[in-house]
Amino acid sequence: MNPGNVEAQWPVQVQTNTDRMDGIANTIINETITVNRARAGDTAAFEELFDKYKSFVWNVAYRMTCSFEESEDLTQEVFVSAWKALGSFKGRSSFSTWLYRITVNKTLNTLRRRSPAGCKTDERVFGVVDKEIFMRQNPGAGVESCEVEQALSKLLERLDPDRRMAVVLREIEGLSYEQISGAMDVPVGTVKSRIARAREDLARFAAQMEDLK
Amino acid sequence: MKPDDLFRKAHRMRPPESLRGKVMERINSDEMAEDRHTSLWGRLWTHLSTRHAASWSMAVVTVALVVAIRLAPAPQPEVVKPPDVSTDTDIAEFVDEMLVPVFGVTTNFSDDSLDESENLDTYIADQLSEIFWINGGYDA
Repeated sequence: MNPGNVEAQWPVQVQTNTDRMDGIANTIINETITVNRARAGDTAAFEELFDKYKSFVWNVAYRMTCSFEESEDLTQEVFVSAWKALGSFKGRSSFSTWLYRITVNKTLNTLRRRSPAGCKTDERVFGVVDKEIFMRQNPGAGVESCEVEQALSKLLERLDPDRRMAVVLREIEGLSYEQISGAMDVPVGTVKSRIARAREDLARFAAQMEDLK
Repeated sequence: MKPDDLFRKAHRMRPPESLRGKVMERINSDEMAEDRHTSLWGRLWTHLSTRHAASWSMAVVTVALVVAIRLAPAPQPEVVKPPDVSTDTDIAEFVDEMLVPVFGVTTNFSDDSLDESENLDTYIADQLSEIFWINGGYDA
């Protein structure tokens, strides 16, 4: 490598990292301002927060329940609860962690109420991905996407709810172990253990489904 | 298809457009405006006062009891004065009443029984010495 090139690239690299850090800091500051406005009763500010996190909440609810209707109800419940509890949000954790935790608790409580026997039930209870609804909700998605969703939901629904939640947050929502730990209120070690076991279970379920074909 | 492939191909789905309207409608309602921003104590108070009449009544009774106890005059402590034993007669009565029933000692104490050489201290020392030996002396 030509040393001259390194010298030429070095300031550029620093500038890029600085810009990125500035961007993150600005995002955090802006969100803090928005949260404070919402705490003061500004519904427009809360609407901004809703727009930012609605996709996360709805997708987690959907992956956990495999039901469009229940996901919609759950998403409403999460945001209404957040709005009501904003007064008690002290900002010790980030708003996102706080909202993740509400989402996780509401979703798991819904699943426990629905199926006391551990949620390992059949498709009649969980429902399957309805192709018509899926295509209407996701006009850009192809048939293959729908089939992927159907296969994934069939595997996920057989998992224990806690393991399912951990693997959904990690593999689909892309949260870090630390973020999942905060959302599920369990140690990081427990999160890793649940995800590892979920992966083992999923591999076994997939093999069983292949055998049935 | 393997789970990892499914995860890789899965994508985040778009939530329904109607969701925003439903959520905002709920949080804009008057009821929500009243409920929000209340502290934990505020919500607990609301819960107790509106949903649990029995708890509400209990709270009123408890407060009334506390007020009643606080307002009631506290009994004054009785002042116990030391006995007036300044005279020989009083000491004689004390010795008769206390020493005789307890230790079975006959004192026959009176001012007249004292010789001129005796005084009250010598008399009491003698009586106590007798009690000491009756009860075993140094071997007790």
